[in-house]
Amino acid sequence: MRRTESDVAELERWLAGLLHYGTWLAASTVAAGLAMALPGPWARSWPFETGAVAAHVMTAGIALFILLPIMRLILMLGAFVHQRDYRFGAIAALVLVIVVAGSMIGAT
Amino acid sequence: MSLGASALGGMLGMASGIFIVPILTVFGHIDIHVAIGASIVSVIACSCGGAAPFLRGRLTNVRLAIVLETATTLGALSGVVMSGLIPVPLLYFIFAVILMLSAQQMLARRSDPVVAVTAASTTPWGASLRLDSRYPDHALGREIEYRVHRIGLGMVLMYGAGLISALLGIGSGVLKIPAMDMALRLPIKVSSATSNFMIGVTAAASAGAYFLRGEIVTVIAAPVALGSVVGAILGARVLMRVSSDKLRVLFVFVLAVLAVQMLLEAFGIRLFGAPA
Repeated sequence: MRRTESDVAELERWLAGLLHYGTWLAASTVAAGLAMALPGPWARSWPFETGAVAAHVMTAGIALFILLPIMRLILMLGAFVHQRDYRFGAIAALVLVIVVAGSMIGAT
Repeated sequence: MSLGASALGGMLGMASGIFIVPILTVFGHIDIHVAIGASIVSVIACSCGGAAPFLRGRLTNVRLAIVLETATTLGALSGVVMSGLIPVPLLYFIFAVILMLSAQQMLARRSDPVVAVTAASTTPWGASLRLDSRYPDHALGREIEYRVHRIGLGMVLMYGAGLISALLGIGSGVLKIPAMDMALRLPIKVSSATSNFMIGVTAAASAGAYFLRGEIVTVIAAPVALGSVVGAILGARVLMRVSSDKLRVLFVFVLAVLAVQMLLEAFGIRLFGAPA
């Protein structure tokens, strides 16, 4: 029982770190894209393609937000397998398959 | 506009997504599918941004979350498949119903289910999957043990929550709260934290599909996502200073106004700006 509790506590710390820093990274990427897209006095000196680059940066930020929960599932899957908790490893794998397959099916 | 809508949503914490779609469609005259795509990204942002403190406070039950996520993601998948088939007026109508349910839920105070932890209250699923857990309650200064009840009913309600989340682009706390309170009978702090944790993965299931479909329009979704992260940070500070009763009255009023607006949209009546 003790082992399970310390395993869970370790997983919680990892998850908190991933979600905290992941949110900052995604939000900063979106903010950088928005800053590039906003017209300002500095924009005149920028090359013409800046608008297109800004859109790509914003899209990358949004993709990072969507990938963050998927990364969280992969981390949980890895942690459960590492702890030899194969039943929960299988449950995490199932959720991951539903999310990934859902994106593929829904996209068509 | 997008920043403002989502900052307001973000400030309201749990109910973030529910304000974004009505504000974008009614006041911003944005296509409802584009509004849903933008909202679902901000739902992920709020869930991920708010998860860390709950995890560090040991309030989130991650084992229970992953079990329930099998139901919420399947629900989300069904929602994605249905979203293209449901006519837009019906979407507005469903949204209005969910807004009214949320207002009603906000009026009724939630109370902690009083569950005596005895050997007899152990449930077969809760024990075999080791879902029962404990959390530190700082107000009481001790650890509170709790058991997870009626997983089957909880899973059914979670499937519905996932479906509504994908269909309307909301976190769908409105369905998760009764599932957590009445079926699983979790302490409020644990259910809030666990529900918030699950929302990210549920929303990612539909956001992935909408993203690949090209229904997430960057120009709208980017400011909305950023606004909700900023709003969530500011909101947590504002919330602590305002009395919760005043806040509840304000929320109920805003929810009711938006519900009426969405209902009018469902019947093709538009009060703000030119008709669609």
